[in-house]
Amino acid sequence: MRDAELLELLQKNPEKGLKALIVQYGGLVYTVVRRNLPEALCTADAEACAAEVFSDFYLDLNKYDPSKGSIKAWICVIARHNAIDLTRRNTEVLPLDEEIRADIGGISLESDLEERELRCAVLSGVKSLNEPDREILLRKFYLGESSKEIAARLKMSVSNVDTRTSRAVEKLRKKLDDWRK
Amino acid sequence: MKYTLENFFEDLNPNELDEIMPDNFDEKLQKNILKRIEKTTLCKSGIKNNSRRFNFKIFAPVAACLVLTAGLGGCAIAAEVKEYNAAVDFFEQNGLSVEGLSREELKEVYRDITTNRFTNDKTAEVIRRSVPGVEILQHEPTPEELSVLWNSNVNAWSGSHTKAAVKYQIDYEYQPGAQYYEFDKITVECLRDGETLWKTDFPTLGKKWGDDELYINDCVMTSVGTVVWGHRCHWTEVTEGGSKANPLTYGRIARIDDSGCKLWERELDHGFKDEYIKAVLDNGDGTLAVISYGDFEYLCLSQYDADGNELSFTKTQFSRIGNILNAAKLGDGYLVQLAGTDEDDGRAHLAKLDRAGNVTDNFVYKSEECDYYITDMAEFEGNVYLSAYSVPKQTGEGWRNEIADIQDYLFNRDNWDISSEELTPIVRDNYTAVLLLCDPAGGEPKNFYSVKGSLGGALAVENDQLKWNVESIASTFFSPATSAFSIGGNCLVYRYSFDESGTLAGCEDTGEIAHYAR
Repeated sequence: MRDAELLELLQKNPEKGLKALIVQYGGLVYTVVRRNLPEALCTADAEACAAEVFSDFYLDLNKYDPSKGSIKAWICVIARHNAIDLTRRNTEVLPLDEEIRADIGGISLESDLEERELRCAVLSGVKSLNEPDREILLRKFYLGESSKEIAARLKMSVSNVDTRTSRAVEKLRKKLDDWRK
Repeated sequence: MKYTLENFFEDLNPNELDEIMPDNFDEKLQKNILKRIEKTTLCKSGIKNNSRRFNFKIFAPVAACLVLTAGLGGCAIAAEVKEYNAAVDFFEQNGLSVEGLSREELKEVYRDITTNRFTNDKTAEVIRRSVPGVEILQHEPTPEELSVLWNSNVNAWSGSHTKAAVKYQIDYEYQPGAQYYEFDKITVECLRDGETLWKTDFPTLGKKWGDDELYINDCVMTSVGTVVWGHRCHWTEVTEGGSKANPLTYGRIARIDDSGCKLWERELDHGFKDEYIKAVLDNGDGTLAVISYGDFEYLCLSQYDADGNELSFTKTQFSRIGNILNAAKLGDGYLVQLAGTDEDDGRAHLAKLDRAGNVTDNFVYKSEECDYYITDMAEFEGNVYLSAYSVPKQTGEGWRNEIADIQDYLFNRDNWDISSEELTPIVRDNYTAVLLLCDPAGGEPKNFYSVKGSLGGALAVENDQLKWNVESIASTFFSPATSAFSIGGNCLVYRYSFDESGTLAGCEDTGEIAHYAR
């Protein structure tokens, strides 16, 4: 269902609209949530958090601006924020996963402006990546999937996923070097 | 500060995500997880919340069959974690609050609810925080319980009925070889804990063909003693040894003191051809409210003092009243359940009366998904509770309303021979016992407790608690050639107790068996 149709349904028949929204994006939202929750929290927490994502979206429907992103992207962002909030409420320290960290520059940011410009540069760099490299990065750094899971999903070998990840990160690093210049 | 790719992805806004997310970027999820998320979402969004009429939060059935193997180190820990996680899942799925509960208490409350035992003081508190709208889990009948049905000696049609600690037995004493109307007397016996407190006789009004006939229908314990009601049937056309026709029916009421002495007997005479008394309610001030219906159209309320003097009489005309099934005090007035009215073919037509007997409201309780059948009413601590059961809207062509879909299923089978093991789950799916709390101001029922696979039974007030009998359907047989019913069987009777605040306080397997037939 397209975004415009979903929005109309949510307004005319909220129950049906929410059900359609959940059918369409439930899997993605749940995955984003689950990946951003620590292992100590159980599946019920993930489900409840996912449900809150949809209810938050519906209850703040008037704040949704289509020009600022698709419904899919919007609820992914809500999902991630809610999961991180829940994690913070339940753990003292966020788990550090060295695998995830990818230092792309060692840049010292001295201002918000610099950070915004850097973001644009990184965004541009990620957009310029071909598939499946872009999807690999998204799964690895946004969904938090392991190389093994990504390999299974994209029907590749694990070493292929790791190689592509390294190459993609290298490409981004070069892009940022150009930006610094 | 070192800026990493993780930082970048952490802060992605929707526009940025749209720019880099492939069109087919998606994840699949199992249907049962999607369903649970959907249910929770609709509740959290307020679209389907617990206060709406008869939208119950449904517990996912969980069999609490965990074995803790203490002393086996890793196994014990794994089992404990598994139970704890199951308990947390259970609380989350059903919106129960974990506030104030330790890990051990959480597991104990979880065990209490899923096994219908109340060993932890906090169980009722947890449920109270989560009402209105709670489904009480009840297990499917076990083979051991089913075997009891075969071993029991059950009297199918009990004539006794009570809303108090005492019971009444009404016996018609016939002469040997007598016809059905040739009885000597009707005896009303009052019992407590199986012991007879007193017996009072109501002599027959005549033994010849065509003589007036007396019927005693029910009794109730009030603050002014026992009140008995029934009716006298007078035949206006009688042929010797032939036919009787055109009866007139007069409601009768009598008061009996605590020693069994009949203080007075009165007959109603409100100008009706037929008037049946259906309930007598204690106003608590020495007066009695007598609820009757006249000529199958008038809902009537008569007020009597303790000496049997009629203080007032009010009647309200409806298009049709087939019967009055239940009545209870509601604040200063009364709530009456009507049946066989034009508005409702079922049993959920309720009328509110003020103290004087004027009908201030009447409504039929329905929902889009279900029909409701009220079986009993009781006033407790200023609130009126309705015992009922719900049946999903039937779409089948079977002519017995509650089980039309089941009849369709049975008649469409090649083989009408169906075992109880196969039929009983189908019938259980059709019925949900419901206990409703009526708002004392408005009288409109609100969501309260439900039990799947069961029928709401009798209500009673005992030992400062409300007792609710729930009849769990345990066995069923199909009788296609019987005119009176199509399916019938036995129920195991559980009794739930509620305290003055309406909180579930306990559960008891009574060991009793109730029959049902539809």
